[in-house]
Amino acid sequence: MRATCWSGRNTVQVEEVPDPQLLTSRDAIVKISSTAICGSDLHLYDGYVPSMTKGDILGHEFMGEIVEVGKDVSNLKIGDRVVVPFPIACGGCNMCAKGLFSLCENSNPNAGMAEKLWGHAPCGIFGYSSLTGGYAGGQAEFARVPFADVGPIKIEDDALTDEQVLFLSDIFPTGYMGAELCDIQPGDVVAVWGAGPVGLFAIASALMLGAERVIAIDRWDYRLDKAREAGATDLVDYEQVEVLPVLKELTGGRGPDACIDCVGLEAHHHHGLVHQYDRIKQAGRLETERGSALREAIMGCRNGGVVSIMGVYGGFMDKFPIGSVMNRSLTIKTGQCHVQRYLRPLLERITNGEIDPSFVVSHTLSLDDAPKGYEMFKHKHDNCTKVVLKP
Amino acid sequence: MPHEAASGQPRSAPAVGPVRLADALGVTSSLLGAPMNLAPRRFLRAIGVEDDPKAVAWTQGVGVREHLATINVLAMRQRRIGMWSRVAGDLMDLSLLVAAHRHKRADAARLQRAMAAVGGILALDLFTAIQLTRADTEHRRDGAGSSGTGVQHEEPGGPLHVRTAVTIRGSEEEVRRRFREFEWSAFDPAELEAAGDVRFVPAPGGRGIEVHLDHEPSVRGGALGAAAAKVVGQAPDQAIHDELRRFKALLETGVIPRSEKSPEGASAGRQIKQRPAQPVGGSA
Repeated sequence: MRATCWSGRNTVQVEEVPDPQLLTSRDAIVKISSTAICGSDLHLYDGYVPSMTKGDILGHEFMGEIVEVGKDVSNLKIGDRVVVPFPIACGGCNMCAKGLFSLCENSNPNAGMAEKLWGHAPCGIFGYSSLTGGYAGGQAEFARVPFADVGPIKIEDDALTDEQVLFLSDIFPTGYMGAELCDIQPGDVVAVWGAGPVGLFAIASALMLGAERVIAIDRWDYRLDKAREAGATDLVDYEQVEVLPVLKELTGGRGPDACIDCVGLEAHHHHGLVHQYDRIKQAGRLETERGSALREAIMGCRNGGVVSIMGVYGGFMDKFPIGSVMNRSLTIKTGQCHVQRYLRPLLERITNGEIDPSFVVSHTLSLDDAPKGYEMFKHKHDNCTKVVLKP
Repeated sequence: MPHEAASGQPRSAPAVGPVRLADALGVTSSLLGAPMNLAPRRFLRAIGVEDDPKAVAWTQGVGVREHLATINVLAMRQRRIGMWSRVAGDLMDLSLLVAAHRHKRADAARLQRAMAAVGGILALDLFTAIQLTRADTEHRRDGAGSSGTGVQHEEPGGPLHVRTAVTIRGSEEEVRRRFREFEWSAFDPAELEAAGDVRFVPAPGGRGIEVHLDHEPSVRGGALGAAAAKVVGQAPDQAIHDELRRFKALLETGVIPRSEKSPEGASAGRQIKQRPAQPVGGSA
């Protein structure tokens, strides 16, 4: 089969690789109909995630048709149309029992490696380095899905297009969880850093959960336009204005009740020199994160507010404003999304017409054009917001 | 003075005398290193060695090592490690002085006095290192660093000693039975149970059973063999950790999770030498 393989920093290639086979009785094989490039794939592409091997198949947002099932997968049958969540979860451990699927204690065979970096290990993730298990990803014609009886959700309504349901695999639930963690109360003002796909879903979700106003912060006009489309009431271009004073002004001096970081470890700072300083430190591996968005989210949040981190971080950040967190009673909530928990309720919202997630798609390409898609997404060419690949 | 462990067992106090001696010797390192770095030629003349550029370079190198030795002794909670490093350093110094006696002798009498002094320091370092090692061994045997539930806070005895625990969502009866049935490569489960090296404790909050292992597997070639096996992920202690993960997964999920990069399931050896995340053959 053809698959998108990581072949070193800033390079992916579509290669011929062996077809997947069942490795356990709880596996299924999916013939992929649509798959997408995630913003967090760019961290792999840019070489900021350790433990990648040349030839690794990328991709953790995918859906398709079941073509083979292991003998212990009783809830799916050949021909079912499914969306596959990016966290691989066993359903049998204490974390899965609590609904904390991205912390599954069994799905990461390389847990020992992750424990050295993070203390304890998270779940396995498709196409996302050895640290998260070393699973082949879904930017391919086929994928093996472990614990297929726990993860994939059947899409029974044929009227729903792939683009409407594909993002249940990651970015829609991730944005939703980012908003849910904010414990939004009526009248709340929420600020969202990053109007990429996760940020757009965080904006839409904050409004669904009752926020009165949502402030979107980005530096790309076309993304701020998308944020408006998602429902943002205020737009802040951080290259044009100082974010913190503007947030105070927009919130009567209080600061947003909740701040959601949808940027992660490759943030840009509005001041060129500061940005270069962070870039040099990151390139020299003196810090692993460029944290200007998160620092700003913390500093901007109102006293006693919530900072929700959905942008991906991998290691250690300098100048983390812990003094602001402690002295102002902030609450930080974060985590890889527990996608399985959100699949049904969010599918219902799509079916009910409350949201049509396809609004984030800017480009649909053939799987063979994946290298072009990565370049386009990375450099924001042609107003790129989200690339869907068709095998 | 003996003090009480969390479990209520009395245990021996750490050796105060050898620790103080080690600290004094550690400080002496820097006092000796200072003239080596600040006035190497004068230092060489004082010990009866020719002060040519090569000897000066060696002296400055040894001076830096002396400062590192100070840090190594004073900064380590376990002073014995720094002291054994000092013993190695003394042997190096003696061999350098012997070489100087053969090839760069300026004053034989001074050189011999320097060798005698280093020999004396070596004896003192060796004595202190042995005392500290003995004290540490006794301290561990008495249960230092362990709380009532056996959680490890201090490194255990041998190079492969495994003290670890895993929580399994299941009943004690089932976990005990499956523990006996599982194919462990590093130990015989019946022997382990008979020796009291495995304990099954109910996890708080109804979260299942904690399996606590306290075991020192044997390995060919002793510490050296263990170190070599560890480099390639084949040491018995690594096998125990891997097999515990597989055991937990098997009980909780019915399968051993396998990824394309680690098709065997949890494996330290595979983590060291990863294959690409591309499909592999298999059967369900």
